[in-house]
Amino acid sequence: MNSRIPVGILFSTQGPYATVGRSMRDGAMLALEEVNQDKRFPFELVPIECEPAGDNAAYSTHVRSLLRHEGVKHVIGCYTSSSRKEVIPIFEKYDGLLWYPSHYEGFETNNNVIYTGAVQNQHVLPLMDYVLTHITSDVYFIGSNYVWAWENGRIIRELSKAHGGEIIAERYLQVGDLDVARIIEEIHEKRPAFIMNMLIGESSYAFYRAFAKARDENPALQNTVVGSCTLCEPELAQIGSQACAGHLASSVYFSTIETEVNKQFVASYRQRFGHEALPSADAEASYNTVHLLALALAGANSVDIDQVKKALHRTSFQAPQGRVHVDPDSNHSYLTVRLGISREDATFQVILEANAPVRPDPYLVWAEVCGAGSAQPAAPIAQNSIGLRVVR
Amino acid sequence: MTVTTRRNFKGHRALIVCAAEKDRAVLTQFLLELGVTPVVHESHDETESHRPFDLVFFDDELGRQFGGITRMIDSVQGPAIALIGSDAPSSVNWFIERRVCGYLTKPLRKAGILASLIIAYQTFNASYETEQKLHRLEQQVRARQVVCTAAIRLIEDMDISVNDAFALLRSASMSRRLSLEDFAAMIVSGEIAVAALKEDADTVHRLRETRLNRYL
Repeated sequence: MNSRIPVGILFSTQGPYATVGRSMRDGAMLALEEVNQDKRFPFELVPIECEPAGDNAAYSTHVRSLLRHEGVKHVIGCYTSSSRKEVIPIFEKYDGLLWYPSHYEGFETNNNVIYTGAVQNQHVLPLMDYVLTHITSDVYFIGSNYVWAWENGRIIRELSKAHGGEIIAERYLQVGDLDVARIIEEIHEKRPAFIMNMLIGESSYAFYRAFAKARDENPALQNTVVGSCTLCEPELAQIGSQACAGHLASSVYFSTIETEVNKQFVASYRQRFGHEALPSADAEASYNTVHLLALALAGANSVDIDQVKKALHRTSFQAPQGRVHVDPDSNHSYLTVRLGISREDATFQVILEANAPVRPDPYLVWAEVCGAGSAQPAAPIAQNSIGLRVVR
Repeated sequence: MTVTTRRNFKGHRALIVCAAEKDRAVLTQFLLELGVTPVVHESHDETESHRPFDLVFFDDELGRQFGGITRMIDSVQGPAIALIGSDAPSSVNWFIERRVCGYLTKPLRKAGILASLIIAYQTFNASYETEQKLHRLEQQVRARQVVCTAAIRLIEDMDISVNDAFALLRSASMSRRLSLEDFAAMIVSGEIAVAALKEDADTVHRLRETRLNRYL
């Protein structure tokens, strides 16, 4: 194996989801620098950064160039499902491996992709389990008009119905649409106890700001909880302190996790990217991914993707969130599920944490049907069956 | 069993509702090779052509963006072929609601498009025939009460047997080139008087006697 291994870094730090893209790139680069300073690894990872700026066609162009001309076999990148689906055929054709660090809606596996982000039983199911148990079974649902929201909306609809509840309303905005006035008006009217926010990017920030104003104006909304599976520290900062506190989030990582590994990670991140910088779940996922790649390369002593995958399945990484390893059945990752409440200082208070890393279930094959004596729907409904403990 | 399927689609018009330009290009080029006229939906503001489409290819990425686009897809009276980008059940369910007759997976390649066309037309036509048959059978079931009422009237007014009453309804409707159900409705409504059917009843009776004598 060559002692200098080129690795593609493919994140959009410009464009419609630049905030998340920058976070993911930063996490990956921090890990890369740590790996290169670590004497245990007999190689140097050479990053080849590409900037697709949120354009799916650009993802294809970059990947083709990386795999065909730059000698790259391993690429860490992509955020949206559309960008991932765009490039998968190229990885298949040129025998490369995409390391995909983002949470997504599941229902996919591919021999040329390693998935290190959360899937449904690691994000939306634990959140809904908490909501159905502690808040309500009636949900007001808002989302961006694409598959992430559609699919999670379907799961939420089925879970709510299985618990005798209903979807009070289901509203979609185009990606980038900031006009939330109609939604806020309806929320004033319907006064839901729980709002599931599956909006992404600027739409989401606009909603949180508008909802904060609505809550100030309307005492009936004081106890309304807004939940999310994507809300993270950089986004809280974008939303602003006036509007970012008190929201429920499901994530495998929060910057306030109280472990020595995480404290060291946060310190390194701040040292590298600025005193005010806080790593998000996306940054941590990318960080873990590079470390897993390095461990697998070392174990395989080869860049060949089949060898690397075999080595990957034998290893694990003590990540800031806890131990992470990849399931050989699905190439998705065991991750530690958590719930948190956002605070004014753009951090989260962790309120619940899984007892152990949760096995990924991208096709919801092992998820149990909701019980509690209610009528069982014809289709199997996903239920979170992991143990969650209260974090004091 | 030998299945005869349609393989020539020359002259047909296909509506294409697809988000990715690359996929649209693959589909458009291949459909032109088959003699099919592709019409790509570019914007939800686009005014509809007056000529109807024979079939539609669509994905959910663009197809679900605006209600107008979904309605346009649903209005096509012909095979609907899904362009699937995700296995997520919510996407698949949406395609099922559109009553698709086949699908292709994205990113599109030429391979498989012709097969999907053949299968989609076959499925659509078979489904259409079944629906028509079902409609006819449902009409017959609804008309059953009327037919029975007509038969009872004949039995009572003419003092004939049940078998003779139904035989009379069948032969008299046939000779008047009416469906049995329509003829029965005319008897029930009084449009045809029972007395006017005496000659038909005599004919039925004579035919029955002739058949009986043949066996004796």
